[in-house]
Amino acid sequence: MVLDRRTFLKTGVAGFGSLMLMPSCLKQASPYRFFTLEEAKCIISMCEQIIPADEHGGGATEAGVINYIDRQLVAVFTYDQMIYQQGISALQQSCLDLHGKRFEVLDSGIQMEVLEKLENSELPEVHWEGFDQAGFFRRVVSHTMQGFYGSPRHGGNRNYMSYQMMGLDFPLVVGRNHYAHLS
Amino acid sequence: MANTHVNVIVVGAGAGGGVVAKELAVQGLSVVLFERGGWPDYDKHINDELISQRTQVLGSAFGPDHLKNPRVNVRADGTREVVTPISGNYSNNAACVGSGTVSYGAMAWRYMPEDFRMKSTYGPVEGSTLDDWPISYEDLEPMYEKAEWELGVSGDDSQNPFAPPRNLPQPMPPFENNREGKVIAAACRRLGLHPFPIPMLRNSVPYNGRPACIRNRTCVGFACPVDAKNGTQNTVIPTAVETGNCEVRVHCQVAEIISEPSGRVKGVRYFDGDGKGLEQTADLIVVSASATETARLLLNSRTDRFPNGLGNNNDWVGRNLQGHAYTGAFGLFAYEITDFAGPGATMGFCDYNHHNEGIIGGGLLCNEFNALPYLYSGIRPPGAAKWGKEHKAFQMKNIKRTSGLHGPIQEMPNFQSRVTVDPKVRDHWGIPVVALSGGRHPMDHEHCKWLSAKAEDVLKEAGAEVTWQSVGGKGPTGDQHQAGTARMGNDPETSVTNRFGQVHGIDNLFVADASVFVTVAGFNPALTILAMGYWVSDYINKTWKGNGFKS
Repeated sequence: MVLDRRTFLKTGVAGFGSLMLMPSCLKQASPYRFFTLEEAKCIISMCEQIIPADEHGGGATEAGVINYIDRQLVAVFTYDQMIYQQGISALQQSCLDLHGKRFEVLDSGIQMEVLEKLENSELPEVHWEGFDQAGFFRRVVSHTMQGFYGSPRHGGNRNYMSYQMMGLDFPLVVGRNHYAHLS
Repeated sequence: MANTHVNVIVVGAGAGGGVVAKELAVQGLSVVLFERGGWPDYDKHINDELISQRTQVLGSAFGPDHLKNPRVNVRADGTREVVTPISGNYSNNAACVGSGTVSYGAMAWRYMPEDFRMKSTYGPVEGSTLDDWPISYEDLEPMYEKAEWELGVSGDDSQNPFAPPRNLPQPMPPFENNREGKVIAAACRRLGLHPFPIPMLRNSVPYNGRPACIRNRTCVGFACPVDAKNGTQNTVIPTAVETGNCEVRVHCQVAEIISEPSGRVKGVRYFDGDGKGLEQTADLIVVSASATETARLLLNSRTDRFPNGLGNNNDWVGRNLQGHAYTGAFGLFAYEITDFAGPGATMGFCDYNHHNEGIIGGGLLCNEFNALPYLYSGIRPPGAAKWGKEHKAFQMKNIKRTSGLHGPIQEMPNFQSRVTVDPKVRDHWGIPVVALSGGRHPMDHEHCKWLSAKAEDVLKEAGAEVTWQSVGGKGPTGDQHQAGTARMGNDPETSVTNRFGQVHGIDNLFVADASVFVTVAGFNPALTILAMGYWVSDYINKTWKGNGFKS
C-alpha cells in the first residue's frame, strides 16, 4: 500500500494515538535537554577536537562531555544558552561559507583549522558581527575540560575514564586512597 | 514572638566569630552567633572538584548560593559587572558554620614581629597606606598559643630559624614530607635555604577526640571526611554551644545593625531561613563576617551620627582591601614527583619573608596543594597547547610529574582598593551588595616577579627538566585572604577600630576578623584571624561588666 502524506498522518494517528498528532513530531526529537540534534552534532565534534581519543584512551565523545554541557546549560550555565546557540549557528555559517559543509562533516584536519581560526577570531566577520568568536571558543574549551576531568556525577567523565588515563585512583575511597573498581 | 534579648550578637561563624562566641559564652555571656549559611555537610560535596572551594564552576559546596548573592565588580575603566561565586572576581569566602576553616588548606602561620610594624621596618611607601599595627607580635603571642592548642596545630617551629619567639611548642608533631617535599627541601638546603614542615591546623596524631589525618587527596577546598582538619566548626563553636550560653542561628542573613539615638548599637535586623524579617537585640555586637561582608554590613547601617555607615565618618570603612597575590613557579620532572597524598603541601621556608635587599615584606614559599585534574588542565608552560591532542597528552604524562612552588606576597595596602555597597544591585533579600573596585599597588607585581624567580631557582636545583614562572600581583585583590577594610589604629582619623577591635565612637560595637588587619603579611592569615578573635574577646571579657564597660 502506498500512502500519501494525508493518509499516512491519519493512519499514524490511528496507530500511535497522540504521539503523532503534532507536526513537530515528524522532525526527529532531540534526546538532549538543551541542544537540538544538529547543535549537539556540532558541539560533539568541537569537544572531540579539544580532547581527542588517542593512544591514552577515549576522548570527549566517549566521556560524554556533551551530556555535561547539555545538562549544565539548563542547570547552572543558563546564562550561556544564547552564546551556544549563536556561536554554533555562526560557526556553521562560517563552515558552509569556507568549505561548503557543516562543521561536523568536515575532515578532522579541516575542523582543526577552523577551530584555530575561531580561537584567534579569524573566521569571516560577516557571520560573527557583535559576537566574540574567541570568547565562545574559550568557553567551550573550559566546559569540555570540566566535563572530561570533573566528577562523573555531573554527566561527563564517564566511569572516571580521564582518571584512569592519568593513573589517579577512582573513585576515592575514604581512608584508603585506593581504587574501588567500578565493575 | 520577639527574640529574647542577649548579651552579645556575633555576626559570622568563621575563624574570628567562632572564637569570639566561644570565649564570651564560656565566661557566662549569652550569645547569638549568626551565620548566613548552614552547618557544613560533607555528603553533599565529597570528592567533587567542580564545586570545591578552589574551583567553583558549578557552585560553591559551602555557599553562598550563587543565585542569591550577587556582587558588583567595578573594572579599571569604571564599567560595572554583576558577578557571582561561580563567575569569578567575586572574592568568595565560604558561607557556612566554620566558613573558610572548613575547607581551607589549614596552614597555621604566626605572623612575624616585622609584619606588625611594616612602616617602622621599611619606611613609608609611596601610593600605599602601609603602616604599623597598633598591637605587636608580643600582644598576640598568647592568643596564637590559645589558637594552636584549642583548635590543634601540627608543627615544629624549632626547625624554622625565622620563626618568632613562642612560649609553648605547637601541640602536635609536624607532618612528614611527601615525595615532592623531600626533593624540594633537599634542593633548598643545597641552596642555603631553611625548609621545614608547614605548621597545619590538621591532626598529625589524634587530638581533641578526633582522629589523625588520612592524607585524603581532596583536602584543600573540601571538608575532611574523617574530621581531622581543625576549624571553628568542630572545635570552639561546639564548645560554645555546650556551655548552654550560645545559640548558633544558621541560614540567617544579617541586613543591618540598628542603633540607639545615643549612637550605641542595640541589635540587628536580619532575615531567617524562610526570608522572614526579624530583629535581635543585644548589649554588644561583634562583627566577623569577612573583610568584604563586614565592610558591607557597616556601610549598610546608617544613622544620623554615622550617615555614611557605622564607623565611617572618616571614609575608612571598606578601604585598604588586601589579599594575597600568589606567585611562584612550576617544574616538570622526569619522574612522578607528586604522589597525590593530601593535601600536597608539606614544606615551606621563610627565607624570603623579610630583610631581603630592596624588598618590602616578601612572602613564604611552599610546595603546592594537589592540583586536581580540572585545575591542572589550566597549568601549562608558556606556549604549550591549550587544547587538542598535545594538551591531552601533556595532562596524562605530566600531572604527577609537576611540582609547584608558590607563596603569598605581602601586598602594599592602598586606599583605592576597596569595598563599597552598590547603589543599584540588591541581593535575594533586597540588601545592597558588595561592590569591589581598585586594584593592587604596582609594587606587588615587582615583588611577585622577584619571588617567582627564587621559586624557579629552587625547582631547577631540584632537578626539574622544564621550569616556568607564574607571576601574580596584577589586578584586583581580596579573594579568600581578604583583609584590611576596617583597619585598627590609635588615630580615629585614619582607622575604623581601636587596638581592641572596638569601633571608634561606638563602645559596644566590635570587629573581630581580618578586616581589622593593617597589613596581611606574606603568610596565610587563618591563625592570625583566630588569634584576633581571642584578642578582641580577651578585652571584652576583661572590661565588660553588666551592661557597660569598666573604665
